[in-house]
Amino acid sequence: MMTSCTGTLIQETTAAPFEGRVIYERDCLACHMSSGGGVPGMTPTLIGSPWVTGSEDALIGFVLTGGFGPEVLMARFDFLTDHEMAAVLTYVRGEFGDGPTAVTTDRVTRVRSRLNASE
Amino acid sequence: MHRKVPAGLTLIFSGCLFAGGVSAVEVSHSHSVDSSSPIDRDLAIRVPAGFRATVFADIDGYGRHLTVRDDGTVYYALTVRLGRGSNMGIVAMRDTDDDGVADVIERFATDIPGTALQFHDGYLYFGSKTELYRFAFAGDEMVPSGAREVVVGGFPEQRLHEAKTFAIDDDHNIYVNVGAPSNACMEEFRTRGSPGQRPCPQTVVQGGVWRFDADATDQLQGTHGARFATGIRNAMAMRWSDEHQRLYFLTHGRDALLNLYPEYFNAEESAELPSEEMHILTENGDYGWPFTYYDHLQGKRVLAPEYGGDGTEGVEDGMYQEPVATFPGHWAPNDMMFYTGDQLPSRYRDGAFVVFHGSWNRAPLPQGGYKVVFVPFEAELPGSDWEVFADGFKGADVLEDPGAATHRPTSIAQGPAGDLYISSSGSGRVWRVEYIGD
Repeated sequence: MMTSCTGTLIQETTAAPFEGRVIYERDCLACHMSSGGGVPGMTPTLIGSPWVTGSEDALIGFVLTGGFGPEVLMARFDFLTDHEMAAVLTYVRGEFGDGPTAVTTDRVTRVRSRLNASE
Repeated sequence: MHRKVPAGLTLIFSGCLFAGGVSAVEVSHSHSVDSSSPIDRDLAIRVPAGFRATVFADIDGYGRHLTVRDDGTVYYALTVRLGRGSNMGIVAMRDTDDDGVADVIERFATDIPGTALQFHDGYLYFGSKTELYRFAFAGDEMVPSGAREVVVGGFPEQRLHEAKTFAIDDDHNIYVNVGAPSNACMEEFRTRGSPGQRPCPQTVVQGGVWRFDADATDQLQGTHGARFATGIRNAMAMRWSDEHQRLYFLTHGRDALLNLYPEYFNAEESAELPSEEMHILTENGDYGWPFTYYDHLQGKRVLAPEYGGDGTEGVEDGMYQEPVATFPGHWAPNDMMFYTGDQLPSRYRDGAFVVFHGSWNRAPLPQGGYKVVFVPFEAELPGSDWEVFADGFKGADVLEDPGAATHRPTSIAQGPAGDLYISSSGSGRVWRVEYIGD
């Protein structure tokens, strides 16, 4: 399957997870832990979370803007570049979601521009 | 007179830095738990030689503080945390056949999520998120039949650091911790690059301790209370000592130095800092949050990075209170207690037990805390070191993920016979500990 991919897609599905893991460890692990299990009573688990397994656009938007639900406070991570965001979300979906699915840089760019336009 | 921090204290804690969070004191102290002794899997905790622990009860709920009535009934507060526990209120437990295990268990006030419990003049005081209640008992009933009264209400609704812990002095004043609803009063919650707010609006009705009349009811924070001290992020552990004639507390220090300021802090510094601080509560004292934090490695209070600090810049002498003891970062002191009984050896008398719930914000380094320590006192101040009184709770030698901890200690209380009770949070377990001699 890899051989049939374009060069860009290979980068997204092979190089990105390693880069994504580095970003996860830098920016996410402190609260969500290396297991992705979060902190009981404080930080939600990512494992099987509907945010992680669900719509890519919703996940990208959530991480860009931060989450302020009734029990959840998460900072915004809009300082990540589109490429970094794609890499870390690819890692998160692969590790804690339904398996390997690439979140592309283009997709992050589109969601970010939609959010910027709606402000 | 306010003596400086005993010099040895800071030195000892510095010595344990970057050694996996276990200090030389913990290992070598003759009164500490024997770190080479096995931990009984069923009991799940380890206490020093000469002590015996039993599982007093396993309760379904997210546990908080304990207190014990004069007749030996143990009361255990339950709250609700994200995704954990739907049972709330207060659990009353009695061990009628004196085998170290509760055999009569009742529940009440099950509509209130709460944390702090203490008896005062026969009433049971219970701190919830926005009210402080008290319950009256008739005779020796386990469950209070008297009307539920509000001692103080009107505390702000908040999602973070909402537990209303409290302490009552010997002059019928009640001091209530109103936690600050953020990490460090940034303009945006835990957001890299967001500056700290000055003045910090979270210190107007929060981020401090408010004083009320312990015997009055229907008081409101804004109407009847006076802010007694400020700059306190969240004093989960508070206790008045009759012997020392002072009110002591420990706060939960701020988090995320590395995540928010990677240019100033590495992972080891961010795990170890800031200190968890023990203080004496002083009227009009400012304890430094959010503008500063205490750094036990440098032995000084430093300017917080949200307010222009770089991890080394100190603050003007005399502006803020100095801790009387410091502990490694993020250990999360959830309760403290002065021992006043005779069941334990005399060296424990009027010293402080401190319960460290255990960290989450030391990752990627292993987590720390998850233990009960004993701090011997010399007159009104902590002595030169402390010792581990109970450990093993976390169920692993090295814990990376707080979610994997078997138990997390959260409270300690003394029974009328001078025995001790220790509670866990998420697991709902309560242990009884007594001294049995050699």
